[in-house]
Amino acid sequence: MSFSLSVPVLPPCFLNRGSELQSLRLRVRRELGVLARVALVFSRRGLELESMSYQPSDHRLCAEILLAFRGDGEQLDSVQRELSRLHDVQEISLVPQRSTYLVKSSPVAEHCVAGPRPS
Amino acid sequence: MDQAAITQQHPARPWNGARLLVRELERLGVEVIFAYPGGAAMPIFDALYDSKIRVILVRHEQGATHMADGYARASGKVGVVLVTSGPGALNTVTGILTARMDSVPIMVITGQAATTNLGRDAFQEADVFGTTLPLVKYSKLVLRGIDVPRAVRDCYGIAAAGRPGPVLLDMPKDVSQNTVDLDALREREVVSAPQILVDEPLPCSEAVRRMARLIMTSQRPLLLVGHGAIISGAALEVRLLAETLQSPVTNTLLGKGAFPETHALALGMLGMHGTAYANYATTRCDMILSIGSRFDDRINGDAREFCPKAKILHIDIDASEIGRNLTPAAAVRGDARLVLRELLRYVSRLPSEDWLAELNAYKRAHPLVSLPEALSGDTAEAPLRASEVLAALQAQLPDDAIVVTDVGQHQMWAAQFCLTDAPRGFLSSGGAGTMGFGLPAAIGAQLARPQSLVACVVGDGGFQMVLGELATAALHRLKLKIVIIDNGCLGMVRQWQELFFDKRYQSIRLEGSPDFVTLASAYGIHGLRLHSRAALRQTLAEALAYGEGPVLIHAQVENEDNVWPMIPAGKSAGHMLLAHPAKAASRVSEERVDL
Repeated sequence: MSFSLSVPVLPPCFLNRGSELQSLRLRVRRELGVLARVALVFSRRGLELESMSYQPSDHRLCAEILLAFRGDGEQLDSVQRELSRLHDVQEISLVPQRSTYLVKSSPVAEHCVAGPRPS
Repeated sequence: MDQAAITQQHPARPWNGARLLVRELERLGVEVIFAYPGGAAMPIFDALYDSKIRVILVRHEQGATHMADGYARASGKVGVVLVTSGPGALNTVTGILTARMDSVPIMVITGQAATTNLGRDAFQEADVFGTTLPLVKYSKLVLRGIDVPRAVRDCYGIAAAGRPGPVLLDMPKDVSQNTVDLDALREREVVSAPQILVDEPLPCSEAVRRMARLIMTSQRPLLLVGHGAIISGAALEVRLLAETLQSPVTNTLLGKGAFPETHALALGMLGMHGTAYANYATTRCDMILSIGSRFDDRINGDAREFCPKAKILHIDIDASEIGRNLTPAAAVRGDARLVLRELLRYVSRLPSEDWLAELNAYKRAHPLVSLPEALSGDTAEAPLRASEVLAALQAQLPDDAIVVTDVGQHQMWAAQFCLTDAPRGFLSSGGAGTMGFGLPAAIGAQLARPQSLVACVVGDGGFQMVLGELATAALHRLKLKIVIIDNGCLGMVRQWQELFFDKRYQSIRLEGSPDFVTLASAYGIHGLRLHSRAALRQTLAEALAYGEGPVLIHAQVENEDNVWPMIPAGKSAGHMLLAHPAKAASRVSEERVDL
């Protein structure tokens, strides 16, 4: 007598689900590898990032990461919890859809403008 | 020339990164370091020359990490590892994974190529910082000597705080070697931001009250205790809760000892090779409260069908675990001990008499058996069974013994038959399932608790992955009891090939293994042969009484033996097999748990 070795057909925990664009803003410590740590939270779960930007703050101790991926609310929730485990991540906030875009008009931080994307 | 005299001759050794590192470890109370030297780590070993920290020289860096891991599991302290760069550093990766999966606080300090050589593929350069990013709880590549003390404190603190885990400190050789300007260091220590504080909020009392209300509606309660309950030191609170509620308690592999397994309310381990009655309880309970367990796939089998009739309640210190595998009806984030203390204020006895009677009846009908019925009549000639060796070992072990296992069939039999009543009395690689863990982890556990009897139960496969560490055990005259369960094959893989791959046995026969008793004697270790049922008790008694150093028992057991019960991977508890399906097909179908 033999059994089939089956893997349960569960919905994948991660992988991008849905087409809704989810955007997060992270305040992180400016430490070596912080960008990689954040990116790894997504890649190891098969989540593809749509965009990611990194901008050191004026006082050089922390930085802001803006990122976006496509997924549903549940995925957004889990990703936030996973990111909150990282010691270099100090604060996580949601960027409301279609209200705020980062337009980088110059490589200098002071010139970053947050606001609706010009049409 | 003794060490004091040499130190006298070199009174003015400069303060470099290595000395600062060692001084900080001393201040943190580190007593033992498991180490293997090499070029990039030499300044640190030089600094250890003048230190009171005991350095245990291992035979392989993987052994060092598992020793630190066993040391940490047995003592609750942070285990510290020191290795060199490149291959030395990368040999720690498996140990880091093992510690990560089981939430064990270890600190791995790696030598690194000099900062001037980083990224040039210098001799023995490896990006261990990058390699271990997905595994560590925290890591730090130190680029300046004045940053060393704070980096050490941060890493050490983070390893132990909250949900513990492995941390890595990468020390380039020039950072270790170059003299540090002490004035600049003082300034740095003053102005630098305070240590990374790990927030440990008290449990939300509203969430606790909500959980208590749900508990109080239950008539068929089940408590599930995991490693988190042991890490937080919640054994007393778990027991109070179980006895107050009159609720049965099941435990995970790593939760063994969080609740006494000989207690009347104990159901023992659940999951893939858990007891029939613990798994039966999951199919029938109306409430399951997990205390520091994460409902992983070896526990839930099939997350959709786990505890189908139950409200799921979850206490975990790691918010990311809540809702990861199962969606709870109520959850409290916090330290298990603190949450339970709060919870105990709001709960009282549940009407669980019928439920306990039902479970006791099931337990009597389907007990764990160390010797199959077919053999119990005439056992003189039949080969020895691993399960009876472990049951006999259990009968002779003192109360404060620590059982350390490797990974495989023997691990599951040890979990089933070596009942554990106290926390930190059963150490095993759970999440990672790391073969080769057992022997070095037992060495670490014995160094952490020299007065306790440490029984190291290993298979012939996993043991051979790390057998060089026999030298470490012999050198330090550790009174380990090494029990090799030798079935001549990779038993768990054989079991799966038999059950799920039509007996197409491939790469499981461990031909060419040495004579283990002769091998032991080559290391100066006392060895005993155990080949017959008649000699079982006496051989074990002789081994346990041996006090001159390690003793190795070579137990030659039945080759084609299987661990029962078994829930096939990916299946729910309703698919539990109580015995071999081919030999007892009709019986099994009758005994399939009714969902």
